Amino acid sequence: MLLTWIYRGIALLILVLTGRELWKEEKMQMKLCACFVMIPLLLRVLMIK
Amino acid sequence: MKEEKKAPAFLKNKLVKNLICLVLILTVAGITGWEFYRFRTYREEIKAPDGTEIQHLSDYLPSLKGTAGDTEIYVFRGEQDGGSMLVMGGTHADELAGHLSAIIMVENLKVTRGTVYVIPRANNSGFTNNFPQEASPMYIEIPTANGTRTVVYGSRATNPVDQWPDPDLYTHYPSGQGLSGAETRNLNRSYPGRENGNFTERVACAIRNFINTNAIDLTIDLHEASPEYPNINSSVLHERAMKLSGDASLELDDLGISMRMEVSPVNLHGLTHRELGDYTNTLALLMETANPCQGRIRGATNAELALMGKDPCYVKASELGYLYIPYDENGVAVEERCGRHLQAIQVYAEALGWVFGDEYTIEMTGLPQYNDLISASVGDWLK
Amino acid sequence: MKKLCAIILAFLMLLSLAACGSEPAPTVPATNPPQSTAQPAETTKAAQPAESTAANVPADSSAPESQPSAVQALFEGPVLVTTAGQSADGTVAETLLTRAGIECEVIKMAGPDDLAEFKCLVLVAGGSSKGLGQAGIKEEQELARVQELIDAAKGKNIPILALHVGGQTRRGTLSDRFIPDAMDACNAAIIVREGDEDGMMKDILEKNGTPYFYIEKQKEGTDIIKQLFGK
Repeated sequence: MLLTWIYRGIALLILVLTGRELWKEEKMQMKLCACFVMIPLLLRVLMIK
Repeated sequence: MKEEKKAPAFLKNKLVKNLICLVLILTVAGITGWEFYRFRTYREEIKAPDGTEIQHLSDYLPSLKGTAGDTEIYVFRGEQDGGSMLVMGGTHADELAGHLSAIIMVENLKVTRGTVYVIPRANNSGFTNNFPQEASPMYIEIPTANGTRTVVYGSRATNPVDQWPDPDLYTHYPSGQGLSGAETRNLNRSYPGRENGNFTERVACAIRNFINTNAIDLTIDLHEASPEYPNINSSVLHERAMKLSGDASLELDDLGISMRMEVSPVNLHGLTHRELGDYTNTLALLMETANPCQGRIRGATNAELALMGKDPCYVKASELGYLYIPYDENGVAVEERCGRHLQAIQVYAEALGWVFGDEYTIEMTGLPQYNDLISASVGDWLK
Repeated sequence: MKKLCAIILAFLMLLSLAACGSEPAPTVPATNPPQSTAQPAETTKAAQPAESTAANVPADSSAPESQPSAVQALFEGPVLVTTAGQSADGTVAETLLTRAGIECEVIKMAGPDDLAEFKCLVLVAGGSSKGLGQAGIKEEQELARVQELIDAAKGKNIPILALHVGGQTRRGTLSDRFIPDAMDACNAAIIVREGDEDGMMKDILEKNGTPYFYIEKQKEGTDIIKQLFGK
């Protein structure tokens, strides 16, 4: 159980950092790149065991 | 000089751009997440007759209770004492004929002598995911007289949600054999398993405990493999089970079913035909049929291919001599594959009594013969 | 131009995703992959009578097609059964012999010393990579073992019966290495017809004038064996 929360925490951390980069980024193309990284990260935060 | 293309005004607004990205993320994550979640929690219906005794793997290893590793064991006891047999489907959840054959057994089998155990979803966790990048179908719909039945097409391996991460190298317990790290989630590389091992090893251990506790005489593990794989339309038997192979081979050959018999290599560890034979008293064997949906040469991967087994790429491959079975435009339908499995199960069960004596006799009725299936549809045998 | 190339490359990558993916491991470990080269072909055959064709077998030409031709008794038991190629067909041979009432023993790695108590040697031809792996030997070692056994049998005037009962599934690069020696040395052969569609075994046997019997189904071998052993 503890390991599950550690994994989710790591995924959440990377999600937040990527989200921060997405927010700062000006170009739409680069924002979309960040989206593709964030989708599986979000799923991991919500679903990984 | 080229005029610079100007983006629409609203897209110059940073907030709008971020909102578009957020909507995109939530939409895609929502759809895919819902699909993952639905597949992970979906349970196909298996219509065992009323009053069928049902045990669970967790009865034999309590740590599996409440996990995806727990699965149903259907028990059919005859009125007369006799031999006992375990049939496992779904060790690899992407091998449809093995899983479907076990379901057909559960829904049709009647035992008059001896005891038959059936596990349709041996690696239950494998039925909660698909193998990545295979474009496998998830749900196979089969028309029956009582409507459409949905059967799951899963993954060869345990769901990574249940066991992650994979090591770079998987060291098999207890042999020490080294395998690719991905094989750590393959139930058929995890036997004999251990009580405090990883998730898949614990499932293997539970199955071993189940066989030992019930002193099961014969264990048959149903599989499929790609048509370009050498070991198909065959049985691989532990050396103690080889005594059955002579009679079984003759009877199957007489029925028009060519089944090559192979002995289990002693240095090939983790598989049912080796480890269950070594770590229990059961006579262990594994059977393979051909499934184009698993092959590398296949074209479109979908439910139709899994059911009909027809693929023009494989016709071409057959013409070029790359396959180990005869293959033409008629394909290898699931009826033929299930027919082979179910006919062979019946022959092996009979051979048990012929070879080892009356006290090992198993008498079963209700199952389709090979010819019954190839002239009809699997749906005719699903309730 | 750059954008066009990028789009094309992206599409190619997308298409390649449909083909690539982890290869499901076969039931043979990658570190030690015994190569089974068994040929395909299981087909349902209509039952037909066994036929015998050979120079020195008195064929009863008036016998109806449904009856096997009368054959000369060439062998007597007890029989040593071994495979040429370590296939599992040895147990099929054992079952046929047992059903025919012939005393027999299967010795997988039989050598010249094992011949002492036997009056006939049955060689079951056909290779198996799993069988060779199980025995812990390579093809060349198996070929040498079989040749040594044949030489010893000849030296002791022990007749040899060759069987090929695996059909098409027991043909291929591996099996075809073991078949010629057995067919060349035998005093009679029983062959499932489906396994000799190319006539390889027939050619060897006819060249030597050795009697041979084609059967459609493995079970038919029992009757032929009974006659060959004078039962």
